[in-house]
Amino acid sequence: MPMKALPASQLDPRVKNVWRLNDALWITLIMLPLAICFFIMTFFADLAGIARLLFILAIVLWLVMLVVWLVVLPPIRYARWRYEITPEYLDIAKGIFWRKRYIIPFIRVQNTDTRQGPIMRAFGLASVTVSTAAHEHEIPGLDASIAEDLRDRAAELARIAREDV
Amino acid sequence: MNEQLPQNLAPGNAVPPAPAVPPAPAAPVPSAPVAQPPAGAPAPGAPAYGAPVAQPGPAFAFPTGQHNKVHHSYIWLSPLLGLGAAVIIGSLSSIESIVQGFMYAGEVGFSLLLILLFVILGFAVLYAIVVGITALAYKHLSFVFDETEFSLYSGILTKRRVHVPYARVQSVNHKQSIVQRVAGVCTVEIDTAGGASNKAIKVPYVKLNVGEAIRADLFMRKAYSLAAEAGQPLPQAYATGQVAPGMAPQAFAPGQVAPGMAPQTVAPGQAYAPAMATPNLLDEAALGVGVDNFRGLYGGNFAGLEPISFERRLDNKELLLASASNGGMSAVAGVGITVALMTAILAPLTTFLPIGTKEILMFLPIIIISIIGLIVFTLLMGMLTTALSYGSFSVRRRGSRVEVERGILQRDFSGIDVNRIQSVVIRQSFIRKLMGYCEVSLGRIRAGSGEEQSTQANLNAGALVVHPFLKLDQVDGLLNGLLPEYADRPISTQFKGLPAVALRRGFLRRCLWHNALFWVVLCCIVTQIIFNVFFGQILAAAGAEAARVLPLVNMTCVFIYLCFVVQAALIIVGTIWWKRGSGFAMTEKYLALCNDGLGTETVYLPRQKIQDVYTRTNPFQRSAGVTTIGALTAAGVQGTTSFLWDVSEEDGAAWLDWLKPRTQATAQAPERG
Repeated sequence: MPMKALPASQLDPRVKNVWRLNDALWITLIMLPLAICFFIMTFFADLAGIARLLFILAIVLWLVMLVVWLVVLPPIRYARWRYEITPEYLDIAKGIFWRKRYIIPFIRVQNTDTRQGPIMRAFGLASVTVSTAAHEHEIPGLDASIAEDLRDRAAELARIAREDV
Repeated sequence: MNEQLPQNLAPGNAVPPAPAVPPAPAAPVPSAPVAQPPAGAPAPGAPAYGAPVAQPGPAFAFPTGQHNKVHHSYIWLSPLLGLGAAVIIGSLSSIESIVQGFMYAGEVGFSLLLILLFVILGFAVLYAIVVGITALAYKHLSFVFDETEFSLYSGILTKRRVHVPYARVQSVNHKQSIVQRVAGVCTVEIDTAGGASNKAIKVPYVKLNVGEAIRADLFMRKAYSLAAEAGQPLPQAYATGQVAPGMAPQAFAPGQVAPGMAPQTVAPGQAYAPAMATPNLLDEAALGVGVDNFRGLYGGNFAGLEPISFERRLDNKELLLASASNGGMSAVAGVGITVALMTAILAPLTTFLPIGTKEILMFLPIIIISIIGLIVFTLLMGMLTTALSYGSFSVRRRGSRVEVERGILQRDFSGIDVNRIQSVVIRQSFIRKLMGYCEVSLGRIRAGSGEEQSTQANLNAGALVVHPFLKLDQVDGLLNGLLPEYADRPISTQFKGLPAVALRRGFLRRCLWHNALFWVVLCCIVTQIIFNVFFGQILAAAGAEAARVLPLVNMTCVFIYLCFVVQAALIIVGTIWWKRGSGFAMTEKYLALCNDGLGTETVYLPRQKIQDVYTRTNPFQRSAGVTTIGALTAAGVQGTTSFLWDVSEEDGAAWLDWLKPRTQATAQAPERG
């Protein structure tokens, strides 16, 4: 039997660009200093051979990582990231290789917040966080106004949620 | 200075002295004159907890709004403890050098005496200084019961006031170190909601009965403030200070007994009797010499709170086996590590140094004797530690709370409200499993303690052990007596097992992918190939010294392979047991997860305490049609995840569905009935 139907709602498509920018930044931050190091080493005669090889390797690795994180992963990640807010619970499904599915009843929700980093703000997006007594769940990349609505709705649901049975 | 001594604890209302309780001896305070509390006349007898009050109304031990002092031993005892360590270290490191200096001068006897005097004088001065500072701190240290909250004032220069509203008080525990026990004082810890951002409030060095009075007062005031908030009148019994509000479970009314209580504790139809509290050898000895009830110099009389509905102690066999198994575990671990270290050190030595089999044989008796000595020593030490920490162990159900008191030398009192229990965990280590015993503990939310960062590893330390060594068939009896609310928990026949594919996946996961040693073995294989194929000739050509490297590498690798084979064999047995015994269960109010194996851990999670449930799959699991299920509670400091690998996908979906709230709307759906 296949796993039951995925939650209905998807993130804002613009979140893919947020991820791309974000990932490009950290990949560059790691790989660029490395490449520069190897490049400087090429000026030392006794290291030149191996340093040039390493420099090329670093550049190639950088490009490969950029392709994977900027071209390949975002659409898959976007397709896999689903959430659904019912009157009683929040349903989240995410992950490409390790697929996770969470059920968070609103009776357990302690507080809900919106969060907006600089990159998110540039794209007019915001995240909604829903925290329980033990854990915090984040729905990243929603349109800022939708995020506000969602936060209000989640807070309202968390307030009125009661278990009757 | 308002020296507030407990025998002067004046209840708010007129309370007749309890006739059965002898008045506490007036503790003389040599330095500070005892000022009488301004509010009301001091009660003539001991604080009268449990004594009937003439008219209904609050009978608080601490008048509202009055500053209460901690015990004066805070001034002279707490510096002593801190100084003790300094004295030992200081004297050890400094004396020798000074002595040598004087001996060089030739006046041995006289100068030794002089040094001794000097050192003692030095420490006396140091002690006096610390006492002075502590006295200042003591002067500014006080706790107050206000109308709505409890406050602790402290600080000499920076004044601090920590306050907690009564409604937020969750548990009030106390601890006594050995020295504190002799003095009869304890440190009270007031826990609020817990979690990483809520530290416990510590009231240091109060007399034992003051500590108990603080607990009683806090819980009574909490009940009052909650009742006032809800606009309800207090139950009559509680208003008189006898019983907690509506807490005593119905089943424990006199003449009745909890349903399903095991026959070895109480025969059906028979009421709870103190005889159930089977004491052990240490308890009896303790009772004989008054260790169990030893309340120290300033301990005072016991101030009770609510009636006890269930009590369990360790019997002789349980205490002995618990110590033996704990000692055995530490002995096995210690010897294992030592042998591994010795092998690791000796193996290279035999290659590099001229040590042959003859020399090793010569040392063999010494090695064997020292190993046996080590086993006996660690075993005895482990037994002693366990016996001392679980000696005079007692777990009680008092009103709505579970209380655990334990320790021969250092004494710990820890309580938890039933509504605050996050999980019930039944754990069997390998040794316990072989003997058919287990440890029962309750998961609780712990307060973050500023300095130490909590890790997943020490989360278990936060659990409240309600029985360290219980025969498996007595678990139901204990839980039914202690937690009648948990009667609905799943029974063993309700557990659903794992699909057949879990066994194969379990072998691969546990032996290979999740096994650190497997990856070490892989590295070894690669290293060995590189050394033998590429470096072999180079090393041989480099001379005799270098030529020894290759056999050494090979030998080390073979040793690691052997370790891996032994470990893998154990893992395979464990995995077979895991597949056979693991499973999960869902009843209306409880989830249960059982992870079997060489050791077993069964976790019962009450529905109300589950924060979220999840399923998690990797590509291999998806192709095998299985999923990992998990549930998260707030136990520990940062939450605790309980999970089980490889249940079928249908079960995973049911697991998710179970936590969806059952409201009127969903209740009308056919499957909810």
